Amino acid sequence: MPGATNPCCPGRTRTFSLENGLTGAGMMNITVKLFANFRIGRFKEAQRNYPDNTPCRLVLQELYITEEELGVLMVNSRHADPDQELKDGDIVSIFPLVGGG
Amino acid sequence: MSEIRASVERCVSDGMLSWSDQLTTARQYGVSVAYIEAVALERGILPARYQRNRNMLNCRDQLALFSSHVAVVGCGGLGGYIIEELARIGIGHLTVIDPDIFEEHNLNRQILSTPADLGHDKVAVAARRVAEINPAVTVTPIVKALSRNNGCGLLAGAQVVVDGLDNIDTRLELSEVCDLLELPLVHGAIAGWYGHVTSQMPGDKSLQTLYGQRQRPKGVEGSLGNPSFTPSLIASVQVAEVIKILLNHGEPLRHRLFTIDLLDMECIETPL
Repeated sequence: MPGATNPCCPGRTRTFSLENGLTGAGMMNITVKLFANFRIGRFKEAQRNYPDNTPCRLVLQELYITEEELGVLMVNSRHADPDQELKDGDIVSIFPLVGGG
Repeated sequence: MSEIRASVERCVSDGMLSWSDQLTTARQYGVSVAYIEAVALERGILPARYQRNRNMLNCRDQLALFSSHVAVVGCGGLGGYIIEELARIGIGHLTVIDPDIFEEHNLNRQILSTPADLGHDKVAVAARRVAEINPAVTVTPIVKALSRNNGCGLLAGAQVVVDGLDNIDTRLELSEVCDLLELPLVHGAIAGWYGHVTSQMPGDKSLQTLYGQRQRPKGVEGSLGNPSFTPSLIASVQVAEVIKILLNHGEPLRHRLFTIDLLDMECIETPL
């Protein structure tokens, strides 16, 4: 659900729309997959709409995921940088940073 | 030497040497139980303590493990279980490295910790535990924090290194050192219900891919904590990797990050 806010934890997603400052020729559909504790109060997998050429960094911001928390970021099963721009139909997978022992 | 061999052979029953006979023969000839174990394994005689390792491991595999030297860096949540399992399966030499002492907040999960050992060096407790459960295993305990400056010296002689550390900065330094020494590194990390494992071979730079070049001292374990069950699970996967690498069996987790989510009960594999 594009821009949906999870009723269980309304603070952990936010609507991201053209009014937020991004303008573009159109919208693209992105599959976002979250793992481990990033699912808590958010979702496991969702289809979300973003303006064309949205970078991964803005997907993270929209989900209130900081780069300090970020472990692995993948686009279509390949490691990606937060600056990487997305294309329509991309699948973004986001894992938290796990480092305990 | 030939007298010891003959004595060991006289004790064999059903292709095996009992612990009692191993100990008696060692005392009789004034040698270590490790020495008797080597004599037995070299002659295809299995110390009876390993009989349930058959037929997953044959006597030649068991000798290869007994001739192996594995370094465990970090003797806490992961490291404690890793040491326990490596000793029980019969790795001949363990170097265990940790600068810390046991503290009360370790008691919820660290298998080597007990109230009586609070304040004691973790590596000293590890060495004592291994001596209790498998006296044929040689342990080199090192009360030091591993870094890129001392790592080459501390890991000298090891064939595989296991990561039981609790912070990302030191892990990246350990990875550098293993690369320099051309040693395989079996990495594991945990946080709350979650954990992951990968096996990095020399030149792979898997930990750099995983954790990036930036210094990041703590992951989400800072907020999620660590329960009793996640360390034992991830440690066991790491030990399975060590055995596969030492024996060249199966498919190690090379270029693969094996993530386990115990909350949703999912295993996820991602390329590295």
